[in-house]
Amino acid sequence: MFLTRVCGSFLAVALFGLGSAIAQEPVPPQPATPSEVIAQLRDQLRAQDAQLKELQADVAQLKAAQQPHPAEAPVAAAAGSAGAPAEATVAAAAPPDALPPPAAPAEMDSGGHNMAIPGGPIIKFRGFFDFNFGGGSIANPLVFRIVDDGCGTCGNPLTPPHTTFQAGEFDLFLTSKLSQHLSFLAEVVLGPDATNVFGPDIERYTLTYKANRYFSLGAGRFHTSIGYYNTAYHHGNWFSTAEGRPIMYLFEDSGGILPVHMVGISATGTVPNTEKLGLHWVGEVGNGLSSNPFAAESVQNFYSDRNAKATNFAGYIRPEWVPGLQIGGSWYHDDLEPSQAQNPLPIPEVTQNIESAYVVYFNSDWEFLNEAVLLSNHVNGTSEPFRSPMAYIQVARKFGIYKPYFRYQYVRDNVNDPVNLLKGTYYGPSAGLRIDFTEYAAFKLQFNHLYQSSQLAGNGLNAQVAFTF
Amino acid sequence: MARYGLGIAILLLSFSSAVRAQCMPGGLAVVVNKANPVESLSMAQLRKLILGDVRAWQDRKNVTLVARDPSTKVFQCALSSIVRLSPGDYHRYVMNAEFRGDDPMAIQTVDSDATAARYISGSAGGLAVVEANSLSVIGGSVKVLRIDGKTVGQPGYPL
Repeated sequence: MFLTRVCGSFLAVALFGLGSAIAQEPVPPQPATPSEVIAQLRDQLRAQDAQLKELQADVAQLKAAQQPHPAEAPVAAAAGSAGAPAEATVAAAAPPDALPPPAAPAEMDSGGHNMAIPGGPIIKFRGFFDFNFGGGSIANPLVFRIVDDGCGTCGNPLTPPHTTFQAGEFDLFLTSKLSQHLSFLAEVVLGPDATNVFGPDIERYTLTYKANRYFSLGAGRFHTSIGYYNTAYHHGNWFSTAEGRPIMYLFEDSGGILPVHMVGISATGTVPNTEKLGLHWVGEVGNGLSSNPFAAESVQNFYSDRNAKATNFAGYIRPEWVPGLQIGGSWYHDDLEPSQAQNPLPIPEVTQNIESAYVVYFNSDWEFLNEAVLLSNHVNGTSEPFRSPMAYIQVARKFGIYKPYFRYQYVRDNVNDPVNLLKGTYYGPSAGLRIDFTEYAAFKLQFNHLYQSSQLAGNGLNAQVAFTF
Repeated sequence: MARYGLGIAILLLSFSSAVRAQCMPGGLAVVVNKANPVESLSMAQLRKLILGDVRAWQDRKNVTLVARDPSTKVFQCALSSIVRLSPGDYHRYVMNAEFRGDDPMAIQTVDSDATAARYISGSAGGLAVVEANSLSVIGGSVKVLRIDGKTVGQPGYPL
């Protein structure tokens, strides 16, 4: 009805304008006979009739434009039993015409901002930012990375205490639908590091072809499907309950040892006829990390120091009978060649395997995250691989806008591993409180206590305001 | 000290329950376009539709969720009973799904159940959760689905 009103108003204005335009036209000479007057009026009516039809066609086009567009490739799955009894429909108590006029429906989806270029696709973008205050030696390992001083088996030096305000990551997330099956997403992050200099990073860019819910193929730079956290949470800190990532999932440029990012191709989908189990699969092939862990950029965005590619296979289930439960695992394989790196290391080929397993559960109140990863680096010619187990648990309970949470993490990186940057054992609890004081902004206060091998335990207190815009 | 802690916990719990909408059992109905061949959904199927895990009907029509404003009781009750999320959490879930690389969900917000019905009658893939007592107003313009094999008002109806 709203549309009808708008169109009606449009028609009225148009007709009024038409009438005015006609009225403002120079007055023609007076016809001599009544038949000429009738002919002239008839011509005017015909012209107005033609213009009215054009306007009606425009209105029809506007109405058609109001209809929702298909969002993706249609593949049926949510099928109820067709052909049910007729009583499934409600008998009409009032004729449809008696319904109140509808307001123009507004799109809700995920919000964001749209930028339409005439004749081209629409770019939808959303921003994320976080601002932090940290105190203590383990305040924010995402910014103040835990580093090794190269002393080998002595473990890492104690990160110096620091009390500081910290700009977080200015994250711009963009998506664009190029066609019904083809879409593009990118995540551009500007963030400072310990040098205090803001640097831009294209953290993700993926062109995805989605054939149906059973198969989609993407190419670009993406988060490797190792475990749960790495693909569930990216750079927008507002999404994650806790203030920062678990140490085992630290980004490569923050001292992390797992190949969090991959440049290559990724295929994913659900397995047909497993709707009740909710079985999903993921297969990825990419460059893997640099064979030299001391490279300035360990993610191989352009140059790969070896021909062999890293592969990763993951699977998970979301059973219907326990909504919110997800159980999964992954297996990653790569062959590093440190002697072939751009800055070669005198180390023979290293076979890298990463296995992960996780169980996570979410509902409106509770959040449980449990993950374990085993990283094995096997130097060719040696009998035993260097194994580095790591795990964390996280529990959160929501009370209105308040969400207290607890995390305990454990990372034991073999100190003799030649290609691991982070060495030693780290474990300890973090406890925090998240307050969603508005729908799109949250305040987090988190205390960390971290035991470190061969060193004194460190403490840190973080306060963070994270939001989306 | 322990007494203070207990007091704070009770306060938080009571606040948590106070902010939730009071939802009456049997108070919701799921409606679709009359041309939709589906007559019944399980709760699991309905959950997948609301969460965007399933985006198309069996006749290959794309699903469009027609939702009331998040501040309304019917919206809050629908979310809590079907997907067990608050409106804020659901919104964050939808955004996070897109952040992970999923296609945006097609969701239209309307201001009343009658508007939802009017919208659905013109949208082949539309689906809305409306108040059961508004069915008398909506009339025959939409089809009311059975949930877990139960019709609205029948004992055991899950919404």
